[in-house]
Amino acid sequence: MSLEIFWMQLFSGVSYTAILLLMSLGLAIVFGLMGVINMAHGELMALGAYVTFMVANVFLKIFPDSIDIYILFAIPAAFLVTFFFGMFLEWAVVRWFYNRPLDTLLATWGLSLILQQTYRTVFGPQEVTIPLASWLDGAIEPFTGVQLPLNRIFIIVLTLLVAIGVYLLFFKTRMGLQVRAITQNRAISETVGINTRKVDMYTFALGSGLAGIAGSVFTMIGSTNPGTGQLYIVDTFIVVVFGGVASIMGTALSSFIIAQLQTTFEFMTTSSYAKVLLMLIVVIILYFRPNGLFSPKVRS
Amino acid sequence: MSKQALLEINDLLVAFGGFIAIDHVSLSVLHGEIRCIIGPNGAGKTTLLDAICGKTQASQGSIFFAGIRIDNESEFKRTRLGMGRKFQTPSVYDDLTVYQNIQISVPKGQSMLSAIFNQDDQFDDEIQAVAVTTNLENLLTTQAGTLSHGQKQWLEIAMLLVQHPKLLLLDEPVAGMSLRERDQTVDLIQRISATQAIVVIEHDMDFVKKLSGNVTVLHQGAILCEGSIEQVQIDPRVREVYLGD
Amino acid sequence: MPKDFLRKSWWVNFAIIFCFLLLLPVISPSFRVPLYGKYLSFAFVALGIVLSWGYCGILSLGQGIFFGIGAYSLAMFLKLEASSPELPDFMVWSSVEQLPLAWEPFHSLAFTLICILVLPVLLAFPFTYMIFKKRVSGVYFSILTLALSLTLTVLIIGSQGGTGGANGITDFSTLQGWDVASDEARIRMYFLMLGLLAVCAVIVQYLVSSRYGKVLIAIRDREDRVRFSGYDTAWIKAATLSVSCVLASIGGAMFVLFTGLITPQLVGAVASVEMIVYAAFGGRTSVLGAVFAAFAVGWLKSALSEEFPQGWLFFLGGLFLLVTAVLPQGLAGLTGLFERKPANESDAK
Repeated sequence: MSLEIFWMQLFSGVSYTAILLLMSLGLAIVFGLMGVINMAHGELMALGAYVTFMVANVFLKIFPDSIDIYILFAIPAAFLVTFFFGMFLEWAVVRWFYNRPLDTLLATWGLSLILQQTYRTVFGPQEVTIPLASWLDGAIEPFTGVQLPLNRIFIIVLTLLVAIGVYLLFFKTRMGLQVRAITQNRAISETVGINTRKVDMYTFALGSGLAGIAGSVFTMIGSTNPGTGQLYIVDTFIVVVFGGVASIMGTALSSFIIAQLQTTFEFMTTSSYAKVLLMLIVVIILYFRPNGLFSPKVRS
Repeated sequence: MSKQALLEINDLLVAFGGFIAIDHVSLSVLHGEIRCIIGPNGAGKTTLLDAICGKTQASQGSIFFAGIRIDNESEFKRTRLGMGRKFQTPSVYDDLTVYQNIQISVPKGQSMLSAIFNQDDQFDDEIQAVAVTTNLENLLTTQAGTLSHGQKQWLEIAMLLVQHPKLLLLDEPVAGMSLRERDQTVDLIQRISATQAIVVIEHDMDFVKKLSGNVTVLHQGAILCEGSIEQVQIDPRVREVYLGD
Repeated sequence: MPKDFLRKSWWVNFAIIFCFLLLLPVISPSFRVPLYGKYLSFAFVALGIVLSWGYCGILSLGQGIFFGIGAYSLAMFLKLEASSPELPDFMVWSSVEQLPLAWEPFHSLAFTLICILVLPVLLAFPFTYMIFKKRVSGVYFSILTLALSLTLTVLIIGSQGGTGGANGITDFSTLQGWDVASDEARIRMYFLMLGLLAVCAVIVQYLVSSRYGKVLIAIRDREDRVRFSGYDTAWIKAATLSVSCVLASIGGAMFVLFTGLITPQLVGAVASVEMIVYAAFGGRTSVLGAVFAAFAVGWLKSALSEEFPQGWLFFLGGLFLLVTAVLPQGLAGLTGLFERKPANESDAK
């Protein structure tokens, strides 16, 4: 394997890691804190994508000259919309299911179906075209023969910023401290006066917002249609379950491992066999570490 | 009863990550003995029971039960060898009746085939007998979820008794019980100790005194001292740990 | 005989439902009969889910896999019979020169039947036993099964020449010489299938009424206590799930008989989760509820698709929300008509 291909493969792996991490971060937070499996996570990503589409259209109609910077408005918009929508979902649906993880799974699956159909009805079943900003088009070529697409570099940088932001939020703010307290012991947290209802709501909203950012950014690398969410959801779950829900670091490492495995397998064989091989590895590892690769061993 | 120990624990070590919960503990319990394990919170009492019955895996050391080495066996195998474990919080099947709770616990007919094909009232006599021993004979058709805390503890003991265990491991059997229920439980335990060895974890010193068995004091995962309750109570090390003298 | 099993009210409801189903071909136009057969093929799956999820608490989101095993097995057999001595048409389209080795044994009906009835056990039991022994718990297990069903779909679609790819396998005509495509044939098959369904329903009801059913409930509610009562719970869970998988496989085979088609869509994640709703809607611990709900949901799906195609997903999504939030006991809880549980027994001893 030549050096150029090596670098491109490596970059591929890193870029895919960023994608998986961005998708999974929101889910891991919600699952880790509240034990809620949000099967509608993919549809929240799709929501972010559709918001991006709408922002792009607004720019096209009203500020056609500034179309290149629309993405800088779209991402925050996607975050805000999905954040508040997530808050609404938590209040309306999710909070009734807190001690019933299997029921949450089914209920949120139902939500995802409803959302998919809503997108289909509102935006149409076809893929919607979203313009790519010109400064993200093309690639840089650090060495000859090695082409690194700009949009993927953008994604990597953005993911890094988001991950740092989340880390700061959880480890340097009071809110983050409350979240970590509740994760470890909900009952005691309530008795020391932490408003667990509020924290739950904001955390779910945050998880949704992160999904929105992911969806917004993926408009650059994939198509946006009502079924987009379904495409990503199982991969996201694998990352979260594989990593164990103990930590953000676990999710990051899990994303990295799975991304590398996937890109390597895809390089060696067809894309369907790559998926099968990956599943095999995940199942084997889960067999030895049923709570995920990075979960700590605790007394029951 | 033979002099050979029923339960023999040698140099047991249980660690969770870096934290050592059981620190090189050696212990033996004779057939038909009543042994109380006491100690401050966090001493490792429940963990010790977990290791004995198989809920937790020990990192080092060995456990022998009736002469057989069991530290690598799964829980259900240890149960079939004659060990019964009662949990700290009552662990009964809330959706089934008292009768059904005990019925499920009958050891005969635990393979799938016999569970499918055996008659419903095959073990009626045994179930009735055990219900009488545990003060539950009038509650057989009650749904277990509606029992009082103390009655649930008794039900759990009944579910163990019907298995005719050689060793009963009781984790805080009187926690949350009224004074009267505690006295009834003392009677219960003394009744059943005729036929099995019993290891009891407890905090209630009156209860331990009334049981009048041997006492082992655990502290920070290791054995502090052993003896009768009177001996243990005047031991200076025990006083220091409990009262900070 | 377990007391619950002999309860008169269950048998009365059983009679009502099966008489209704029996009369359907008589009172409806014959082109609808294959549709009814299709709905009821999902009833088999729903029965299995009542056993493994309703009673034992194992939420498998991969029943589509076993539905697919039964369906593809029978489809391969029927396709070979229909195309012989030539290669099946989709293989010709994919430039396959020779019949793949894996297809050869499907010339035999006996082998096909073994695939439908035994292969699910051979696959499900060892795998799930190992997983359950390792205490892979509820949610993780569900996600694992979801991922596996997705993976299988990907595999099937990717093997165009061997499995018909995304288009699946279709165009059958006879089974061992018996016509399976005409309307009269399908009416005959409908009655046979109804008989099989009745037998399966009775068997499952017997299982859940026996002590085994109580053990399943106990495992669902407090597995560690059951282990401490001396049961090998991993074995029991794996065995229960395997029974459920065989039922799903039979359902798949029935589906192929009535629709003349199998596609990877029915194997995948979406289909697998949808199968759960059949059991949930009927009342997850109600055997008869499962049969009725499978029929009802299937019927609603067709009705909605005709009148109101946009509405189906809304309806299905709403159904999921309904059965988890408001109606956890499903229709059975609502009407009290179907015998739902030995779960809250206070009159049985």
